[in-house]
Amino acid sequence: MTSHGHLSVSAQALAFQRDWAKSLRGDLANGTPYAFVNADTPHEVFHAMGMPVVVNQWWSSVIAAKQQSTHYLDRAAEMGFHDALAKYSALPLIAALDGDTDRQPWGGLPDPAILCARQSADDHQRIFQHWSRHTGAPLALFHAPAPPRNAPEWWARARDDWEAFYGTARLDLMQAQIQDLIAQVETLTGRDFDPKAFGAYMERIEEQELIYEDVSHMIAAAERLPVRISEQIPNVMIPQWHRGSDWAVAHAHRFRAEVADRVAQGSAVCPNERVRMMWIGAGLWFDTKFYTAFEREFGAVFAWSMYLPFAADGYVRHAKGDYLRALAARVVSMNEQLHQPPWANEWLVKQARDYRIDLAVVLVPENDRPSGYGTRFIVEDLRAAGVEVVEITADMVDARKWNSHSAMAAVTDGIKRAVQH
Amino acid sequence: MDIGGFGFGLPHGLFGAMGFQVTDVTLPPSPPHPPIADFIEPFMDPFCASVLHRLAAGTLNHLAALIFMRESPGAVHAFHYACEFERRGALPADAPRLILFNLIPVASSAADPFNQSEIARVKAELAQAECAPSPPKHPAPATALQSLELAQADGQISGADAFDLRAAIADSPFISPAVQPPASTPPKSPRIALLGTPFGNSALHGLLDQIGTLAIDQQALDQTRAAAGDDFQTALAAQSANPYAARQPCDVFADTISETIISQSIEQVVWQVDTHDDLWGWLAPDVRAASKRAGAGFIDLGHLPRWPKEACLTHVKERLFAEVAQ
Repeated sequence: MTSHGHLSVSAQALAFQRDWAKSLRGDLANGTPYAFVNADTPHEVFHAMGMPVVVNQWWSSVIAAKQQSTHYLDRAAEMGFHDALAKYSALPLIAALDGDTDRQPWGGLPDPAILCARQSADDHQRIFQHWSRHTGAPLALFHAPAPPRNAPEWWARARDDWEAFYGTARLDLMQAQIQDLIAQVETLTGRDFDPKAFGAYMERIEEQELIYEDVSHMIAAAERLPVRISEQIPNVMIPQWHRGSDWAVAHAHRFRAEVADRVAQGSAVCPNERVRMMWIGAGLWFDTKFYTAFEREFGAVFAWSMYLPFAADGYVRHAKGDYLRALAARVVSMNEQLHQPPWANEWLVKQARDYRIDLAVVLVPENDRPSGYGTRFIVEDLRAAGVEVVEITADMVDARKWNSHSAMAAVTDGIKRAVQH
Repeated sequence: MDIGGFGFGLPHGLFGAMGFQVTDVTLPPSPPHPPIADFIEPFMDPFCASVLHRLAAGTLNHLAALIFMRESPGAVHAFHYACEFERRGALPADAPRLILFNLIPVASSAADPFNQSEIARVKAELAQAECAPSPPKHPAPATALQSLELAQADGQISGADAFDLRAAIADSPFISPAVQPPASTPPKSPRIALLGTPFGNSALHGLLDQIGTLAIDQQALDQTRAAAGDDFQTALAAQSANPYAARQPCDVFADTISETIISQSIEQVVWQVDTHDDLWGWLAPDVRAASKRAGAGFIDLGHLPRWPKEACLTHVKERLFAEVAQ
């Protein structure tokens, strides 16, 4: 293990992802059927049946990381899609419609064998209907009815009491759609779904997520931040894309061990830590240096992002032997728990308390309404809980409008206010 | 006890089959209600924001219950915000009971039982609000809406008048205004289709009436089809068959609009969206292409407010007269 530089597991995670991406690219080039899916869909079905998955939001971040987002957003306007439409979920579509394979990462993606999205936002079916028309791939579209009320403390009830919490009718619908999806994937892959193997796989996922819960607790309780969110995120998200696999579970164990070691040694990323911050929203993929920009001058660290604590709260659903039902319970309100009141605001206040947060930086996506709803409740409740708050309006992939100077100035002001408390 | 419905494409036929008549409260604007205004993001769908302000201001207290249609754009957020305001004590004590109706506009082995369970749940919630099903006292709005649609397509009634009459039906579904065709005047060219985000008033419609014949109004097409059906089977079938439903899971809008433009001899398509649109804009290229294939003109008015005032339509008027009027 290095000193309070990078964790050795971080390099391992990135290396795995590179190797996986290379292998995936090879599979796709060889014509292996794959699924192109949104993040809040039951990936477990595809993984369990050995069908490679490309996640829309991951591919969007790849395009953004290649500094191509500006080009494609300009192309979107040329195609007739106005500038206020969502970008994070649509960047890959625009790249595909653009058709210039020389510009796209990997020379572009081949047509998927199947598409999968959930109607958790008003535009998802429109975006994926475009995909389906463009690629000829069938679209497995999941409906997204909402519960009659968003009952409080979802993270406490959802692990065991999910049948009552999410509602039998909604779970019946989700499970029926999952079963339809299984039938489609069986046809596409020529493989039969193995319920017993699936159960074992779901148990492995649970093991992985509970490890992340341990890590979250350790980081929250540590006197000073042992691991930056810029390292937390890849050590969580990369295994999450491969959740339940031997590598992912083993990596989670390694991650926990290194974090535990750091905590035991009192290791801190910022020895003069004075202010703990939380980043609320999706990752700022095109400016990750932002997360460390306040350490030297202010001793202000970003201790929290949603990815680590959401691993357990969002994914653990004790199956009680009914693994498809548990999967339905995992997916049925996956995104909504992060963005709808009171679910989002209650959870974030709890997280802020657990992590002893002084300042919350809230990313308000300019053109991604589903991710921006509920923000005002979040801000109000965090302030009522004694947390200073800064709101930054930006877009997760649209670097054109990101004003780093103004964002840094806003956070700096917030830090100064937090220090005065 | 009065029941309100919020959302585009209210399933009046289904409500009738359930034994209820529902007043559409979707369209009216509202000034901000200060105690809750700070909680409503500027990008909130404007109709959603309006219903929240009206709820908090007590304007809807005459309703025993307010049904939010999940599949109307933004409506689920309006519902959860309303519930959160209620939880925080920001709604009046006699605000209507808030009910979410997750009616999925598709017929399938998965969706059908779910829709049945939703119907049962909504009925139970209405019972809790002391709203009991009863035989209809007046005709359901579907027939009146269909008559209006035909009259508008035939040029017998102006686009603005048709909009205002539909709004009157929405305000009071118990009244089915008879459509009185005006004195016989030949409909003028061009025949216009107004497509995109629904409006809250008829200001743009009135402007288009000056240019030509506003024969097709997408908002009306959606409203008419969603309201159809006089029993459970036909009313539910009407939902899955409605190609104009905002969140229609099946990719049918483009083909349907294409057929409509041709069958209705549309000569000019007028497209517009709300300032914070994140839904209809995905269909703009399809509509443009369909217009071109049909030999119809296509003009994109861009982002317009939902309750446009004549004064703010000045630039629109200039553009329409310059590019469209014959």
